[in-house]
Amino acid sequence: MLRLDNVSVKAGDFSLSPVSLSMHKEERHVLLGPSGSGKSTLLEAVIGFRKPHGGRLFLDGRELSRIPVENRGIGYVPQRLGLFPHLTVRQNILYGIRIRRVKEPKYFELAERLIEEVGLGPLVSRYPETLSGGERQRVALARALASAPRLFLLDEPFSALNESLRRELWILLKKLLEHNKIPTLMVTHDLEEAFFLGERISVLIEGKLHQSDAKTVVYRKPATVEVARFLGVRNIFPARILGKDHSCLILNCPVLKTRLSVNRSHNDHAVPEIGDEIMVGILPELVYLNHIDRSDASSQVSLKGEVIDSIDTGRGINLQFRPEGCDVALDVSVGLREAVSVNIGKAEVGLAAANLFWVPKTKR
Amino acid sequence: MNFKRFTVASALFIFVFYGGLIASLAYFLDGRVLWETLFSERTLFSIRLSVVAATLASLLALIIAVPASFALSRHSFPGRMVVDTILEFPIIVSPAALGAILLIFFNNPLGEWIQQNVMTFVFVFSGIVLAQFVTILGIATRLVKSTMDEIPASYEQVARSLGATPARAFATMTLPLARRGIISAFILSWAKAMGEFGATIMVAGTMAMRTETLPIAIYMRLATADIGGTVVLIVCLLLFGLGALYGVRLISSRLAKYA
Repeated sequence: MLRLDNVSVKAGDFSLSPVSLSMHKEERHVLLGPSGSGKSTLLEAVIGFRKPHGGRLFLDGRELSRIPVENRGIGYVPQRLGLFPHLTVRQNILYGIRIRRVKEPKYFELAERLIEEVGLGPLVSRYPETLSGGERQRVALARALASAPRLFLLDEPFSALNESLRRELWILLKKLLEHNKIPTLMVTHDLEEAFFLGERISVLIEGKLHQSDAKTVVYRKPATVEVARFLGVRNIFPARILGKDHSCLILNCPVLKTRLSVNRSHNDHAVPEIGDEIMVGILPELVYLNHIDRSDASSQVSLKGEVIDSIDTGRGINLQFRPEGCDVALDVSVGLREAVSVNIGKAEVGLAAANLFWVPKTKR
Repeated sequence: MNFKRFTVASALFIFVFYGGLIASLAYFLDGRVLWETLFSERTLFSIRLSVVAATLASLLALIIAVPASFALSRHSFPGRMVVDTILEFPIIVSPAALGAILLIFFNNPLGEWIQQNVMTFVFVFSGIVLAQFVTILGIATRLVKSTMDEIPASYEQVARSLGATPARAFATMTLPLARRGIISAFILSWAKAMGEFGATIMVAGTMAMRTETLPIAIYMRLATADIGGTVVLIVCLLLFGLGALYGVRLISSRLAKYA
């Protein structure tokens, strides 16, 4: 399918370090990262709007560098959609078929089916300026898919929409992609969008690919401090390796004033040596508040302390837990159902080895 | 006087100044002279010559200006900044100097060769068209470029991703979306060419019934102290100019939908 071999791109003062990744057939792959990380630049290199500075791109085994944009067979939805304002909805959707002078009925049938699938039937004679935000997104999706592309690229297409409309369109897009079996590479800075729509996620930060993994791995076991911080993990602390066995690393974590054990291998980093300094982290959702969950008690390290703050986010409660004698606080998230039994004051948390992750210490 | 009154007074001054100058023409406007001058063979020739030359010059300018402004708007290439700057060349150099440059050019070996082997320009109709073309090319390109700058490149990018070649993307996206700006650029260039005097007189001279465009006819009538006839021709030129501006306004409002 799509393969990037050490693709680097320069765009003005910005440069994207060599990126290597591959997508298999029908995969939904998300390029995730903060603004200015090079996601859109990489996407533009794939479609052909930017010439890579180095490396090679392959689509279905064909090297793309000598293939012009119009012959790559890549569907594209840009951030601002680029709906053709002088054409009606139907003319927009049929543009690709007409411009390539395609005669086979199957393409027209596909276009008609897509018009129905995205619910644009009654709007086909309207011009884009008369459509709502959600309707415009649907036209852009249908237009890109109507040419039966071999690869589908989306550049933050839902960033300008409100929450409920975005969720509605995520569901529609997921359904469309599953139904039409089109491999998709999508750019977003939105974690929820990435995890909802993606199967695999590549995290780009400051022009560098930090991690490319299945979405659950990226979230639960970030590969670098930068990825962890971008994912919003604040529970990340320096630790020194005291020992290791066949499955775990034994760590001393001075800021939490405790020893911890963490699974030794969960990413591509070489297992560090005894005495090395690393960073250890845990997602706030995976910190057990003792009076809520004791199921993993055998592999847990318990920390006594107190809940010093509690913030209701609407979808759950974010707690600040300070272990006894420590200056730092752990982020702890609990669901709304569990929240009723949480009070400010004394508490105990459990950190299970399987839920902890480690990353090499960032050199600064 | 507060600031608002000062700004409004400035705006009104412009109207009174130009309007007053135009209105002052009426003092010398005589019905009999108007009729005789307007329908004289010489005036009709001048009008015909000016219209044809300005139309040709404007069309030629657009043929160059449209692709050039697209390149300046969309692509980066060596010398882009220099080309972009030189568009103002006809504005910063006086029309008479522009005409003199042309005349000097046709006296150098390359210019002489062109005159002998390709086309004669000095003191003939083609010289009028060339002088007008040189004067309006930069302006036409600047006007079309400003329209193209307003059209997001994403339309062409999406069109290309859907299978359009660069030329087809330009023809199906940029051109229709820029049509209002292109038509306006044509009309404004045409009006500018109609009024062109300095460069034309240098290249084409002042030959009655041969190279006598409307502005040159005004100059020639004034030189013979024919004030009444001069006023008629000025009004004539004024009507063409105002008609062109009205046309631009009309097109702007009618085609406002897509650009």
